[in-house]
Amino acid sequence: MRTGPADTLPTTAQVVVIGGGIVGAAVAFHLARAGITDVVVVDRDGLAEAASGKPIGGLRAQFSDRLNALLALRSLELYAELGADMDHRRVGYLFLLREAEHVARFEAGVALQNDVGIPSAMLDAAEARARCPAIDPEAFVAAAFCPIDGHARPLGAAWAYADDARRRGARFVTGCAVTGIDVRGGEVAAVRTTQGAVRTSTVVCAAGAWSREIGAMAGVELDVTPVRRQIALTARTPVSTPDLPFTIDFSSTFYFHGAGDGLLLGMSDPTEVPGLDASYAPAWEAALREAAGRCAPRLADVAITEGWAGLYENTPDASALIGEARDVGRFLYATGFSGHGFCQAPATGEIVADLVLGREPFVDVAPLRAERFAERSPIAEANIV
Amino acid sequence: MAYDRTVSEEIEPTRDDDISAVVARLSRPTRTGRRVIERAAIMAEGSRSAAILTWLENASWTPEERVTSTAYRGGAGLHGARLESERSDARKQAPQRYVSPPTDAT
Repeated sequence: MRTGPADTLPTTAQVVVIGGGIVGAAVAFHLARAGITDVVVVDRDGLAEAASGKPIGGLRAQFSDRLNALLALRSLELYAELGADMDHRRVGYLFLLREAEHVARFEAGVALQNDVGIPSAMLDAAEARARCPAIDPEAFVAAAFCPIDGHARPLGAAWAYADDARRRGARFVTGCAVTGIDVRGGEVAAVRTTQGAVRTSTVVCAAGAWSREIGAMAGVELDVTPVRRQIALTARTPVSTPDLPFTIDFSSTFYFHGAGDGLLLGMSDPTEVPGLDASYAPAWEAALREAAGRCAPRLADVAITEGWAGLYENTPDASALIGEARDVGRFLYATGFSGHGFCQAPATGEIVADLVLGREPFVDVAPLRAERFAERSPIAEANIV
Repeated sequence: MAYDRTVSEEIEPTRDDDISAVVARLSRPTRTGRRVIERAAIMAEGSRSAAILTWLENASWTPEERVTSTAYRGGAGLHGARLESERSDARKQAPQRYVSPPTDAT
């Protein structure tokens, strides 16, 4: 049973988590499980109402960067342990490749993934079609597939984390926008909100698309840019089979997977202007259909029954920002997941709890520090759509 | 606002308890104590969505209007505008989400 009305804002808390999406909820869960129960999560809207409210989200371990792959793999393990009612379907991710350059890049990625225990493999076009009969095999030269990938309902996971954290003592205050962060002597001192101020020594920014302005309140630069991403849902179609993989045309970024006995269709829109508008714009469907037809011809005229839009929280290298601010003590951040917050939230929550407690995380996240762009040390993640 | 039953021509028989469980899984509580379920979450259930919408209507959940962007979409041009005008009445009029009655205990 999901928790009911929101808690009230306390005047003090050991840790204030800003953002009640899947990442903030996972942070609160891991803090509470580690014994830090004096935690308050504040959200300007409601829990899992922004990007984490996406009807279905992808869960994959197929990343080309070792750290991203480890975060995702650990997250899959933690989701299995969580046991949330999240309709987790391990149907695999199928990356369809048209260009030799992409094939070489994915071959290197598969080798890296296999090295860390991820059972991905390269396929030829015929093998890819056997996995997903709707595709045009003539359009592709190879594919990469990983059977432990799949998709699930982010809302179910976010609420499972929030419910568990709340049972252990964490508070979740919604309709509570942060208006300022007090920093004294280089350390976090308080968080000011529309419902009052909370004295605290530790802040975790998990504010997703709003992270840049939250960071600025503390004098911390978080290079996160909000960009709308849209998806469409279809009526029942024979293309949707129980084992249909999460199928991605890597060149166009068009993707589709099962949603009930219909499909979920998506694509990155290169004309999208950064901003906080998350309303659905149906005109996008023309380009979506065009890309669908080039990947899987039967999908070009499939009946769309619904559309949904949310905000990606993009960073310049499409990888997350995880760490503690260099110049503001106890200002931690877990944001900028660039579309992979659901994929990486569990491990991120575990790591942030370790950072709060001064414990060594299972993997060094220093490469994900917010300062990496100024230092010209970006993450080289290739498997981004 | 009318409920949209045009989402699927075929409604598979589904037990009331099953639908109730799905609604519980897909909905979330609000600050008012009511529950809310997004239409997109319902539609992601495929043809079962019709049974869910009927269940919500029978349980007196209230539809809420959607906010749809009419902002310029680069590259969409006149074709985009035409597509918008061609959207089915059902999709144009469909609510964005449904809110439970105050006493709902789903």
